[in-house]
Amino acid sequence: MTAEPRPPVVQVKDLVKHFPVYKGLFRRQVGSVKAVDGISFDIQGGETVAMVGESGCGKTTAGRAMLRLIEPDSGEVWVSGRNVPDLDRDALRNWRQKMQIIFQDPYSSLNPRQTIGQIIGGGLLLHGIVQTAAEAEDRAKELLERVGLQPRYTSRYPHEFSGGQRQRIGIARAVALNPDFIVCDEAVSALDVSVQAQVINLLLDLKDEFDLCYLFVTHDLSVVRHIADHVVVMYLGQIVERASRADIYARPRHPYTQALLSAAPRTDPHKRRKRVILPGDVPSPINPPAGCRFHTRCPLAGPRCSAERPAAHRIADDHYVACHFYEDTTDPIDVTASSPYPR
Amino acid sequence: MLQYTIKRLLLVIPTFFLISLLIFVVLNIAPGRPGATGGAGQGEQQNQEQKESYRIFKEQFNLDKPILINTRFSLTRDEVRRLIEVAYNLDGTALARDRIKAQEALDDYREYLVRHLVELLDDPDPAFQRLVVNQLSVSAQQPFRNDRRGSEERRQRAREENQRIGAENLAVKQMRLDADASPEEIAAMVQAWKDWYTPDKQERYTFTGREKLSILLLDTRFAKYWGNLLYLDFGLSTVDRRPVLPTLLGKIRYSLSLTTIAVLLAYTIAIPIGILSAVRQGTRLDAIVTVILFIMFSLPTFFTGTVLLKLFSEGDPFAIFPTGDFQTMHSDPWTTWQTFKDIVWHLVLPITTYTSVSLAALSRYARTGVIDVIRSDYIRTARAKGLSEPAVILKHAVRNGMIPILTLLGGLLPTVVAGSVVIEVVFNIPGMGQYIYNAIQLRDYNAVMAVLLASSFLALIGILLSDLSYALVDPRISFD
Amino acid sequence: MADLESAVDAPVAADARQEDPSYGEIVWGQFRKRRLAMACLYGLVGLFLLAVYAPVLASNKPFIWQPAGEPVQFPWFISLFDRTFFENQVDLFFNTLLVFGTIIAIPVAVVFVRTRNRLRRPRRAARSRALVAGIGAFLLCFAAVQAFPVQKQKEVFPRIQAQLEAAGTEVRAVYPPLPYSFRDGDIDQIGQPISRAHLLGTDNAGRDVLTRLLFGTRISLTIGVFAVALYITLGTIIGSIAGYYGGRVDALIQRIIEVVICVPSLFLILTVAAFIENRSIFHIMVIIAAVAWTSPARLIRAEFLRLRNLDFVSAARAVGYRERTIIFKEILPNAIAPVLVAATFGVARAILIESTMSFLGLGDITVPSWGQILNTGRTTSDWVLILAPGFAIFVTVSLLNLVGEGFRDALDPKLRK
Ligand SMILES: Nc1ncnc2c1ncn2[C@@H]1O[C@H](COP(=O)(O)OP(=O)(O)OP(=O)(O)O)[C@@H](O)[C@H]1O
Ligand code: SF4
Ligand SMILES: [Mg+2]
Repeated sequence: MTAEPRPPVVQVKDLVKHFPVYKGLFRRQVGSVKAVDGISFDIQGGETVAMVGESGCGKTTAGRAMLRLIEPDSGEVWVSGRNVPDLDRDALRNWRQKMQIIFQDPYSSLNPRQTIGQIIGGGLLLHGIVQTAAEAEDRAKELLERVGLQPRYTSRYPHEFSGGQRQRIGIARAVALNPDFIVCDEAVSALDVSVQAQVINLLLDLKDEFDLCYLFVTHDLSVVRHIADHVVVMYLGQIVERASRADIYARPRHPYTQALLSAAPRTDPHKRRKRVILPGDVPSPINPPAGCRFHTRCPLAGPRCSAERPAAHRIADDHYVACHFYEDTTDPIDVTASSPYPR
Repeated sequence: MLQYTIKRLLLVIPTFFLISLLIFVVLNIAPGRPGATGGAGQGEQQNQEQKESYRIFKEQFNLDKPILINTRFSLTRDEVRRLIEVAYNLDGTALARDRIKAQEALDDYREYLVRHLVELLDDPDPAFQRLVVNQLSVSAQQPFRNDRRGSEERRQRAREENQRIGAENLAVKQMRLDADASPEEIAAMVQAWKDWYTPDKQERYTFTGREKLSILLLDTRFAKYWGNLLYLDFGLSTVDRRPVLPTLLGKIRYSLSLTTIAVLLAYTIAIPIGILSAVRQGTRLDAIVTVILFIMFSLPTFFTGTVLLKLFSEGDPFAIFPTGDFQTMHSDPWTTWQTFKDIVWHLVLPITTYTSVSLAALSRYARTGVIDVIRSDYIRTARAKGLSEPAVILKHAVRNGMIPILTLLGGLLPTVVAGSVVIEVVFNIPGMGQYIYNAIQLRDYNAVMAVLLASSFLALIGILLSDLSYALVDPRISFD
Repeated sequence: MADLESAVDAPVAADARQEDPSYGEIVWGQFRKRRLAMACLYGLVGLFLLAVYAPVLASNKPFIWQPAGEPVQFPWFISLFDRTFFENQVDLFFNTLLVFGTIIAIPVAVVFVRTRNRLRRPRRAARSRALVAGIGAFLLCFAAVQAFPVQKQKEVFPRIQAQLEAAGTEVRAVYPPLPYSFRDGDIDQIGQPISRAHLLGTDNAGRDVLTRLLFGTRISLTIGVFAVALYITLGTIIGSIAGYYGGRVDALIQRIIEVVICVPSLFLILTVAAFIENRSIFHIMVIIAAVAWTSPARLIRAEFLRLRNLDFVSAARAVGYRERTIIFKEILPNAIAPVLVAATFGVARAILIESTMSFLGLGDITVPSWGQILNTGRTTSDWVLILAPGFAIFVTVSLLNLVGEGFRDALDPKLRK
């Protein structure tokens, strides 16, 4: 899709976020939830990277840690040329203009005591994009119109809007600051299917208009197919595979990705795959399995898998997979024939 | 649950410590000296004996010690010299206020002065030497050991020790000089003091690092108070000089009998009223009950009490009940029944007052509790199952609706034991409430402290009990 | 939460409204529907006006004073700012309200009436501008009153008038309806029963009871409002910090709150009050505030714990607001409602506490507070001195409680249609 290569707008390197777990009489720390455990990926300008994975695998944590809405433990997050975790407080507040977020829950993401005009215009004043309240109001009206709402709504309060409308307001708030990068954390999951499509199209239009790039967190693979340029697959706090959308759907190489895709409802009957059903439950992120985190459920797992963490192997231009046996996964596996240790 | 309980129990200790710290600091920084009614008025015009007795008073109540931390070991000789100069106005410029302060400091600093005073004996000015000598004969006196508690053997040893200290103090006390002492007498006395300052005394009056640390934290009013508290010793009353605790315990039965009856009564009346108005919610009965309870709720306790007292016992217009006190003084022996009747007769008005005040809030709680349950889903299910209305109400609504109001009981613990100041003052009942009221006005510092501490402790336990009981009956509470 | 309608542009309510009520306006609209609560609110306003205009109703300084052959004097007006007559700051404050507040209220009221038909937003803006200007002007006036103290000689006009008239000089004097001082008694009038001259009789120092009751309104309202304002502010700040930051800060603040809660508040209040020499009502307000701040702190903390995890807080952080702004401008407006309800009840409680203190002889003995009058009633065993202040307390406390209840219902979304 891309013609000339641009430098990535967002670069994540070895991002780590662990939540300490306390227990007992004296609240001793007994371990930590390894919510995000060393993830790396890039987002090019104008691109949408989708982040998929099961519930609890750390997608939200990753998105928020990138924006320092929760403090990451370590790692680098370069946004438009600056490393976000290194910024001091004032620099960070400044740099926030470059990176915004759209939330999943349209009901809790707007302050009930502020008018829509205040919600959208507040950041404009704060960052000195406009100088007066009147200008902020005017700009908010334009933005409302742009996201498909009536400009006169600026004086209304959030409780008067439907979920879809609220999500549009949240989008207007995010693009108001003219950022380079937006995290969409399940931005359409809470919406009705018909509304979902409209909001997604709006997002895609805005991307071109404002020259944005998105990290689109979701577990809805049909949405991914519709919007993503690249896909990042997470499992238990780590990235197991990343590739262009076409590659992921056509040539998934990680057993987990394959299982994930086979579980998704197919729309195209010709490309019907064997369904891969994963045995067992997702292990606890507090004590994740050693070696490859997927080995407790992987149909291909061998002794090496529980001993050694697989590196991210580059198997094509934009295609990385973290599996020891990536060479053997070109064909989707047949679970029925698999034993825990096939070799 | 067990872990939660243990955790809460363990927290009681530091919390109680902090409470005692708070109360202690508040009482001690409050202006106006505790016991000031006894021997205040420091200054020169006081004679030696008065001064002496005030000093002993302060010593007895540890008032000569700093409140929280003691840094007196770091005094320097020059500071001591300055204190003497100011206290006796040697350069004629000191303000009266500063003089009193310096004099008080000299009185309070005691053993921390001795080392420096001995060095100051070498001053060339005999008049100054005389002042130093006299200060020494005060400061070198040692405090007596507390012999009020411990095993008989320990008390015996403390007494012997005190006899020795007494003898030494007597000797020291006499090593002083009158205002008209001749230079020779002064020189002789200075020499006598130098001889007195033998190496073992030297050791006694210089402090090592360890000693300094323990002085810093332990030779303070607060530490001494806690030291006594560990033996359940709340100190002596500054008014009658008797231990506070037995007096206090003697008062509890008055407050307890008044409040227990009143609380029980309030509950037995409030619960049916609450249930009734919940069940008949929105009817005229509910409205009337609500208005009456609201009026009772808005009437101040002291007003209700005063009006009842005047109406029914001061003969304006009725004189049915006695005008106060807990029971009648009498000489002929009474049967238990007679005594009981007498007490009840005395308590009718105070109990009525107490009940009327708490009734409103309690029945309100009961009403809300029941309404909440009636509205909830499982009652609807029970109705749907075809249970009769009274069965539904009694079996489910009431039982579950009473949970909040019953867990309130724990919070009542301090009031039940410590009583109500207002009611006890109005009806002249010699319980804890009246005791603290009088103690406050007489600045009976240890008594006030004891009552505050005791009721805070009860409050702490009460909160713990209601939290635990709530956790026990309501499975939705989590224990993390 | 289904979103069935076309989301492109569908106003929730089909109407041509240009603007929509703010949360405050909705609550006020709900409150207005409750007739009892509204009546009580009017009652409170009436009480406040009584407090402000008390000297117009009762003062022993004549409005107009003219002994025959002398120029006209206006002792009443001058007395309002006379430090020998009104010694207390509370009275000075209310007298400033009486004179300058009345003057300032007129243009503010004009703005309110004029903007009546405007749209919500410009109306709100104009009105709040007028209010702010009015309050600013009033504070300036109060500062001026403080800066230029007036001190007059003590003159008892009714007595002078009697003397002059006995000497044959005619005097033209116009007094307020109750020509008595709330402070100075008449030794010839001690313990008078109810009469036409003294509608509620006099007390043991010969002071008119009705006059004292009237001026007591000032004391009670001041103590209630200021003590509560003080502790609400304190508790709100502490509770916000505990709830927002959580963790160790919260644990520490929780411990402190637990400590303060355990100490029996009335005992502590009485003790501290007794240890302060020459206590004034300002001491009393501070003491009340010092033990009462825990309840708003706990309410606010609980609200903050709930709210701080909501996405709009993350959104505010993502936009780049400062923490102070997030705490006080984003979260606090969502958390404050239960505290404001509690504040209304709190005013009632503070008034009760003050009167209890005065009743027990531990109040400010220089002011005519209701508890003080009742205390006199108890010692002299005089029915009027017990019933009149008791009734005043009862009425005020009831009004406040009923307004508070109405307020709470208005805020309760379950009861809203
Ligand atoms: N504040 C927190 N404290 C402790 N653990 C947390 C916290 N936030 C998230 N976690 C844990 O971190 C893990 C990752 O959570 P996260 O919300 O990032 O998952 P997710 O992929 O977004 O899931 P979902 O699809 O359900 O939104 C989970 O196990 C979660 O329980
Ligand atoms: S490394 Fe082993 S366990 Fe992990 S995905 Fe590859 S085959 Fe499965
Ligand atoms: Mg998530």
